[in-house]
Amino acid sequence: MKKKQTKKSHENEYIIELDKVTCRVENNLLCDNVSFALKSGDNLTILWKDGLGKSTFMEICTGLIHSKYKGTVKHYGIDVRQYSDAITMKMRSRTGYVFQNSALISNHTVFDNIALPLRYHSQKTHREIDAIVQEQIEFYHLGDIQYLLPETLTTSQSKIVAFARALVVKPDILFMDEPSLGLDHESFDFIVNRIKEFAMQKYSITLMLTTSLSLTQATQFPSAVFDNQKLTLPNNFGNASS
Amino acid sequence: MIRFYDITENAGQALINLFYTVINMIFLWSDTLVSLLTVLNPFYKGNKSFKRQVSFQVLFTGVEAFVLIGVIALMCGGTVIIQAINNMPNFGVGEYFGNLLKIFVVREIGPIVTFIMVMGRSGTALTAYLGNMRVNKEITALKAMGIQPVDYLVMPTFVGMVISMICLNFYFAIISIVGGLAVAEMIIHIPFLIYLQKAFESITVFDVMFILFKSVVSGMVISIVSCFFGLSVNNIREVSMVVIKSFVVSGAIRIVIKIIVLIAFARQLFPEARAFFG
Repeated sequence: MKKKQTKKSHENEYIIELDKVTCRVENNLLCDNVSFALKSGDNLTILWKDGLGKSTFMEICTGLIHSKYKGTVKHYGIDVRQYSDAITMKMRSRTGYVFQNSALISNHTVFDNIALPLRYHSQKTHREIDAIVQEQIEFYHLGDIQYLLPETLTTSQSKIVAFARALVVKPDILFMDEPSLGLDHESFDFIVNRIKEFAMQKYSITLMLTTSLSLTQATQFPSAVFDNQKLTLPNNFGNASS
Repeated sequence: MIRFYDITENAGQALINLFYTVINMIFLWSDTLVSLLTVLNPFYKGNKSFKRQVSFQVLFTGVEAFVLIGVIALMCGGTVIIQAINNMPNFGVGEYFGNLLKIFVVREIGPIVTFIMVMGRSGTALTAYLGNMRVNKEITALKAMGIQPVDYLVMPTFVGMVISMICLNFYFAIISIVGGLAVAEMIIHIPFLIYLQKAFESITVFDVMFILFKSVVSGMVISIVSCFFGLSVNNIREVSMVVIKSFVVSGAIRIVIKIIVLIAFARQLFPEARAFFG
């Protein structure tokens, strides 16, 4: 009952909010006065040119970077810099993040990589966690490669494993940094379906940064364009500062 | 042209950097201890990878180094014993054979050789591994999943390294005495059992505690310094540099700790040395 109430109270407030964020990396202006906000159920794709600090901007949005920028990044209405480490880590346990290079842990097998967030955060037993991971592996068709190390995987396989790892915790928010990079057409369709499935869930939030127009068209999320250090949001999209 | 101001400025900057490095290392050490206490709490249900990570570290640092440490222990023990048996009676101190073996091999050579071997073998590998993890954004991925790198990487390494160092040091002591005497028996045909009895008679509980203390300190220094430098990497070119740095700095820190302990507790630890201190 309490959970339902808190979820309802989040319905009208911004979960992720960037207010006048200006970032400068080694005298290069990365973004200038960028503001946008996402409510529960919102999905946003930002089209971003390659090599202009896409990953750094994503790390700012997720609160992984606390310095290097001016302005405020708020999660659940509070500046990410004000959260204690323990609360930040607890919140991130309900967040999925797909990295541009997949960022799988190199000395862990595919199975262990997917099980990693559950083993760290979950109160479930080893057997229950293994069952959940096995289910996830079958769903993502990773059975043949589950005991391989990431170095032996192809780019498409790594990306799918990264998705499986991000979604195994059933997150509320999914951050994706260039999710379609290096995917073959079959994996592309598979990943697009997974993203759409996630976006259809109630209260879920999706933020995707990509250079790919085909991914933007395939997912059909509202899309913003980042050009000349400025972000142009779609017409009917929420802006916290406005 | 080098100006005096440049030299003083560089020296000052180096000193400030050293100060921050030491402070950050102490913070990392305290964070690791806090993390260890959290995991040891019986009511704590998270971080189920702890045992797996610790056993991996013990396997990599301890078990895989057994052969190397064993061979070195055999060589050190054999050499010291053969030289001692041949030369000590010439100086009229033949009856102190056991004590020499205890002080020289068990207390000093063993811990320092084990430290250098583990640091060179596992510490540097650990630094390079963590450095590469950082470059490949694996550390960022851990943070993004809400996993503290200290809990997941540093603390299990710390525990595994301390356990490995304790085992390796006792292993070195036993192999150097028993194996060394066996080697000496084969080469100069000494009465093995009599000398073995002499050697073990001289070893006391104090020596065991002494080795234990040295092992724990060595394990802590290697793990914290290696992890600290590994986690401080910013780009791939820095990896090779931090590997060298971690080796040198951990050696230096161990020497500094040894000097501090010697200055503070020399008279209490070594009552036999009172004659020298007056």
